[in-house]
Amino acid sequence: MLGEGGRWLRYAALIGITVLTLFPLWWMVVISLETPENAGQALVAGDAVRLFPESPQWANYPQALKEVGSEPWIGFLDALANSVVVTTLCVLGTALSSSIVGFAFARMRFRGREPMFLLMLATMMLPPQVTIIPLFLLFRDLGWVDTLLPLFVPAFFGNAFFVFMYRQFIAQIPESLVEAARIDGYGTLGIWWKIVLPLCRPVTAICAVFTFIFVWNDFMAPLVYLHSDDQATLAVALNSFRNQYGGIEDLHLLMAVSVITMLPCVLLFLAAQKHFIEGLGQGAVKG
Amino acid sequence: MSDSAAQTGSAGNSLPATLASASKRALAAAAILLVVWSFARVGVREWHRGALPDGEIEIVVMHWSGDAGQQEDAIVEASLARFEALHPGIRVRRINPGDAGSYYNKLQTMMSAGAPPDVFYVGYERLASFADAGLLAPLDTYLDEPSGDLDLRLEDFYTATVDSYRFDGERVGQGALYGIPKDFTPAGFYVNRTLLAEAGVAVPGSDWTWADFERVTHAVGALPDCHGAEFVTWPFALRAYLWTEGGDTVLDDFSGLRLREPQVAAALERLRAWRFDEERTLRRTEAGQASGSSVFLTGKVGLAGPFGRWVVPSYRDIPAVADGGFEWDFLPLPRGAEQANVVLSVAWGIAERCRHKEAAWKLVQFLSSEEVQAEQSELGLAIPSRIAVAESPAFIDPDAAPFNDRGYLEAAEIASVMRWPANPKFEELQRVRLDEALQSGTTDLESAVKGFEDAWSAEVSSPLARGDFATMPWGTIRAVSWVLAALVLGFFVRTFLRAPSSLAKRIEERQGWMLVSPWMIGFAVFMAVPVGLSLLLSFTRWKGLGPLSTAEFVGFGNYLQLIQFDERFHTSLRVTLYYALLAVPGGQLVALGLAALLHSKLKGIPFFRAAWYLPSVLAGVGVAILWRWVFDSDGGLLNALLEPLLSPFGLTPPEWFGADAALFGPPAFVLMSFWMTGGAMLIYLAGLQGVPEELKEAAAIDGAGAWTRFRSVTLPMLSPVILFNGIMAIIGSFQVFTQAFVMTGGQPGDKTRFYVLYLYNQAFEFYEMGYASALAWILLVIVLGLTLLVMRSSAKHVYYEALR
Repeated sequence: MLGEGGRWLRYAALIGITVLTLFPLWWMVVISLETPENAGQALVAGDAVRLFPESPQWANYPQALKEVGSEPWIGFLDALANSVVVTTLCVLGTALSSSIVGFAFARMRFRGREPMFLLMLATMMLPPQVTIIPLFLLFRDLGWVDTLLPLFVPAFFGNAFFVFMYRQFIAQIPESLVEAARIDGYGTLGIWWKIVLPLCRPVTAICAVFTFIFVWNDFMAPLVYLHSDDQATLAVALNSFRNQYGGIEDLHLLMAVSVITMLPCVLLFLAAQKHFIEGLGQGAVKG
Repeated sequence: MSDSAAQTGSAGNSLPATLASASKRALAAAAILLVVWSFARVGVREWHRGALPDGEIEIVVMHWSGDAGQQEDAIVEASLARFEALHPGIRVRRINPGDAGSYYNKLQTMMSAGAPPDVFYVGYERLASFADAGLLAPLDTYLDEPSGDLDLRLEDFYTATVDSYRFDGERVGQGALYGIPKDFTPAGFYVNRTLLAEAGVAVPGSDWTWADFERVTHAVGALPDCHGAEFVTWPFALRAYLWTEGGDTVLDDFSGLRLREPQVAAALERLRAWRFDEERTLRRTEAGQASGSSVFLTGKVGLAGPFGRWVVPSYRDIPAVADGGFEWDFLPLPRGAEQANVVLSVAWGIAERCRHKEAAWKLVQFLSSEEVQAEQSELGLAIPSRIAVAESPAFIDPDAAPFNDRGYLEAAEIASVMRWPANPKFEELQRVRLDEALQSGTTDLESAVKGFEDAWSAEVSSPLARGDFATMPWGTIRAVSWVLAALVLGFFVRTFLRAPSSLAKRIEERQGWMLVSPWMIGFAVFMAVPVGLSLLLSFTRWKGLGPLSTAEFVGFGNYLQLIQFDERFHTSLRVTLYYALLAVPGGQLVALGLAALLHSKLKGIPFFRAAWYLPSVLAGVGVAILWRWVFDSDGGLLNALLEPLLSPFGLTPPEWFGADAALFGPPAFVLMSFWMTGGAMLIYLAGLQGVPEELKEAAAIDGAGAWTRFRSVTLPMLSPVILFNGIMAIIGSFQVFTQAFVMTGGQPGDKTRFYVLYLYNQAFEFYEMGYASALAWILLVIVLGLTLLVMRSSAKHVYYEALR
């Protein structure tokens, strides 16, 4: 269908954009492998940035990891375990609860639906900065401060962003499919589990990737709710690292830690890749 | 059997495929192992989290680590362990949130919850705010009671450091004592001796003058590629500079400014002229550029300051001359009309709400002992506040740079306490307003001075600052909210009972309620209270430092003040609107365009998809440093690319965060946001996958061209997703915060001060939580209005296949 010229033009566009989007990562990796002097120079004088580091300092990576947290190595392992636990629970909770609520908002008729939906949207419009302290007061009264609970329990009660997203996609699933399932004897929950969730795989993949990245990088909530060193998540550990090593003299270590922190996000994205391209309700239309 | 054999056979045909699937499996297994290990590790730890044995008391200590990181942590940890060994029955729990910024955020939340740590760091500049809010315990009573060998006598400390922690309700420097100084530093310039020798000027002595400073900077500035000095105008630095000329920025009672006094005006003009009228005497810095103490490390500036002792650990990494480095040393502030210096310090304070003050005092005494101070001073970060320790080899080290250790101590003898108003806005206003003339050069000195004067007099005379207000009637409010909650519940029950007559409808309704119940419960438990509380707080004056009972009811005072008088509110709203106007439509076009490009059957699409999403994965901070460099107007990447494109037209690229920040600052953030549209792009891509091919094919058979097919088939099918992304972009762009917070802090002036950044300043830097809540609710109304407008006006254009 595409002409030979059109194909080349497209590839040119694809590659051009890729250069732009890969450039930040490339820069971070280069700086993370530089000597402290070169890394500092690169920031002060732009022409000191090299395409490849002169002599890659692989030792920067273990050195940086060792200095995460308050105890060498242990600090990093603790932070990693905490981050994995919190993000895993958040991803599970958000996807399950948001899809079920989004399903209700898209496909069920009940009184109070419109005002509730609007209320849900409105909760996203209040800047989180002003609810930090009121939320802290609430969690203190629940006795949850200094535990991991505030970080993942709310995820099981639906996230406005993803509820809205699920609603928009679930509304596009042809009614004939839902009707057919009902005739096959599925109840509402059965339809959600057997029809809606499988058809919404791309949406769930997006939900999982977004939640993972957000929770993985979020540092305000763990900073405020956790007191103990061994409970800190990677984002908190990284943040204190940034400020300790905020000067250009330790830029290489900061970049090394940044690269390692984002690695799981990239891997998860790659793992979720194939689900993004599954058509939404596609099989259905053909069937 | 035969199945697996067939599989092996077919896999054997293509080795790369086997490897790919094997590595995928290995990765999946590793991921599962990681999750299991993490849950096990965290689970076991939380299970064993011990309770306090009977009869023991626990003291919570909170501190931050400076540039010394884990080393400092280890030293504090070790001294606390020794204290525990000396005092059985007292347990010490240590909290270290990391850097000073995170530390103060956390301290504020803990204080507002009425659960502050018992013993904690207090910076001299926060003393007035904290003591004024009644958060610190006065320590004088303990000093009078002798307590054995650790007896603490204030005569052993540098007087100025002790005076920094006295507060009489109005001013710092006199009155009750609220902290025992831990360490301190005076300010001065760090000098690159090697560069001065190259320029042919002698290194001045500790008694140098501003004339010497001028001579040295001119000589070094004449060297190729070098600048005379890096001169920071941080609030303390500027005031200390003015002190040396017998002036200051503010009157002793803070009722007005002194910027029009001849010696002050002359000193400010001299500083401005050095930077902007002369070539390369002082470095010019844009907001957000690499600046401050790091610049000295490049070896391209003769002097850098005014800094304290805290830069020393990182400067000690400067290589020797033989290895391409340089020799350096410290010089206290030069003498002008007067000789002056300042004491910057940190102290150990005890919370007023601490339940075991006796034990806490024992700990403070121990932490302030000669032994512990000597250990700490080995880090080289600061100067021990005990005279005996400072004079000892623990601090004075003739073998390590800076060699002029005595220079710090001599400066300390003439140094005085820098008093700051209890209102933290003063410091910020001075920095933001005067930097426009002295640092970024975006305005002339006269308008900067006028801006500062107007802002401070508005602050002093504000009805909110002066008025006396009744405390918030929380008891009544609590009762009323219970009644309201009961009414809401009753309303729900009534709705429930008045079910529709048809059975099918009734069942559907009940199921609908059941399915949305997770969100409803979550809202009631986790949102209703905080959101309602923030609304109530918007009608109060509340610092967000003490408990809620300290909130005072001001009616619509905050809202009136914001709308009628607060110029920075209007500025920040304008800046944010400008940003949103560009970022929302632009971002959607970019995201949709990228998704359309990816939605084709070319080879290698998975790679491009991953590559394009990647920028959204990069966490804020590392990237912020990158962007600083990209947008740097001098040597930055973007301008280096723009230069050859613009020069044929006689144009020069803009100073994004410098002189042209009013026009180009927000668009710079828009450009950055385009990098982050990967999320919207993915959602569009998922939407495009849902457009049935059959429809497009049918349209093609009917003779529709590519554009017509897109407009009449793809666009309608995509419209729910466009609506979703559009609304989310509106909400997101009005809350833009992190990049500006990390990169520019709103500077220069208020030209990149986005709405939520201003809100954050109010809440966590000025301690005006009530005012910040009012800001939040105004934003909510604006964004909600816009969202409703978009939803209503798009209702006709959004096509839902089966929304019921």
